[in-house]
Amino acid sequence: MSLLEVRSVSKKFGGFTAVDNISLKINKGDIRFIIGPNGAGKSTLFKMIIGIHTLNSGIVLFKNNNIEKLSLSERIKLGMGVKFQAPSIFSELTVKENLTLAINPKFKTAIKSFLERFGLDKDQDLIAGDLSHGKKQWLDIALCSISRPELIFLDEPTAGLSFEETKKTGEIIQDLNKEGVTFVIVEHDMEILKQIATTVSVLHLGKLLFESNPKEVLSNKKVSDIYLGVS
Amino acid sequence: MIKKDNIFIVSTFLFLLIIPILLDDFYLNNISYFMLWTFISLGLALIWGMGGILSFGQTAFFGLAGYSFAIISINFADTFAVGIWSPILALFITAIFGMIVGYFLFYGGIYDVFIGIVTLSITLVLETFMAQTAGPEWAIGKARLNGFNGMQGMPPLGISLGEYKFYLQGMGQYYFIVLLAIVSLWLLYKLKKSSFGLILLASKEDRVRAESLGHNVKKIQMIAFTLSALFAGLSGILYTNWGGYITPSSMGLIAAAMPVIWVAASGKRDFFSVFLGCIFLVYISQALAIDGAQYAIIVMGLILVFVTRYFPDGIILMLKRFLSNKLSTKNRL
Repeated sequence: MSLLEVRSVSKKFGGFTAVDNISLKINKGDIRFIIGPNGAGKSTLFKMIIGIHTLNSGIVLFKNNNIEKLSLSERIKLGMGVKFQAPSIFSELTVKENLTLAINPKFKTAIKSFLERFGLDKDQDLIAGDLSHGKKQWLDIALCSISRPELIFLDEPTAGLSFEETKKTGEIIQDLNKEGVTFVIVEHDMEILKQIATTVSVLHLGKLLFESNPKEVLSNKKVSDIYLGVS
Repeated sequence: MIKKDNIFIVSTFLFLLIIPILLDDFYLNNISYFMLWTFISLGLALIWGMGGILSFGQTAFFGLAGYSFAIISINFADTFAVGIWSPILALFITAIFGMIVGYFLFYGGIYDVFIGIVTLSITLVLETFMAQTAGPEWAIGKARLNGFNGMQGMPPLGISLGEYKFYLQGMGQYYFIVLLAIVSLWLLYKLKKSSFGLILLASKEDRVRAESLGHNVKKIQMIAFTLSALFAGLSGILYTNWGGYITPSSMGLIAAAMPVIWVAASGKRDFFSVFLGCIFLVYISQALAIDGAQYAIIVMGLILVFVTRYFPDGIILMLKRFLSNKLSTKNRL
């Protein structure tokens, strides 16, 4: 049984079809990457799954339940975590207050270990807005993972990170994955994809172009063509 | 040991508790008047300073509570303890109205500048409605609404037990307002430190992100809005009790703009700064109003422009930070 199933979903903005009849199945334990050039529909699909955009057609099943009518916060309570494209931490609050805000009361003791895991233990009393870009990204991932969701969506978790920071981000994701967290990651960076992806879905012009393991995706001619602009 | 930040609060309230020894009833009544406006400002600081929701209609709740208190207390003037339960009932009515407005605002997806427009419209509609209730047909029980002249003749807050009368007038009223201010500030600072406060602060920065952490932001905003309506209502009741009257102009455009100016100029992020700033600014308004009400409004507008341009965090908050830093330096030396 898949943890998340997206069946024939479509989204139009006026006359423009951003997502066209896409179906995906995410199994428990997957680290699924969704890639594609700009305008492929990745972020729109991401927002449709988490409930920010309504669907024009199709359904989204989480643990076999139709979640179409649920709000974003209700979906989160079912066991999802979300990180948006730009680091969306609360910059006026301290690092610790950010995590306090995100944590499920059942896991209060986890704050310290999470701060250590993300290399933020020395920054807990700092105003989050004063953190470096890399630490902001990690705090953002910490926010969506501290309440132990079963499925985490990350939209470009390595945007603006250095090679080392990207590598560390990959390690953090792999650690969480070993603890049972499934990931759906929208990403441009091929290094982290090679490092941690188990399955890759390639979108192009709102459609699902190709889906396989990272090795096959990276050697696929259609995929390299769309990235080089040959469509 | 008093924390550094609390020194200002403690010394201000000690001063407020002591000054009745030095002043007569005339001055105490004036200070009571300046202080009764702090509650509407504190309510606005709660939703605007903490929640990022700029309401231009706090005066709607102020007026509703004042009128409700007047109507109930006039109708039940001979009933036991009417001066105690009628303001509570008026606050309850105000809270329900605040919750209904808040529900339609936040669950209806109205945000940002549109909240200011909608809330301003509500208060102006209420003002216009109350202003046309001059005829004898506009009465609720024994209480005539009296149109633009407003209502008067309501019994004061308090209780009469046989020959003993405990009414909130003069020094009693003054100390009651000081006590309410202490309790309100304590509650608001507690609220700010609570998880409710954190969610409200977070929703100001990024509503969608706060929701994506599993928080029901709309519900939190609606509750905060209701609380702010209650604070505005408290001011409305105290105002009605203080002067013994309530008029539609208390819900008018100028009245609606004043709390926004007081809160912005004082420092909307800090409740104590708002409390102190509001007292000073109401005092300035009144002092200037001796030479003409319009004159005072222009000066208030100029203060807002000046503070927004040069001290965007608010002048009282800036002074508080400055003195706090001075104290720290002195302690280190």
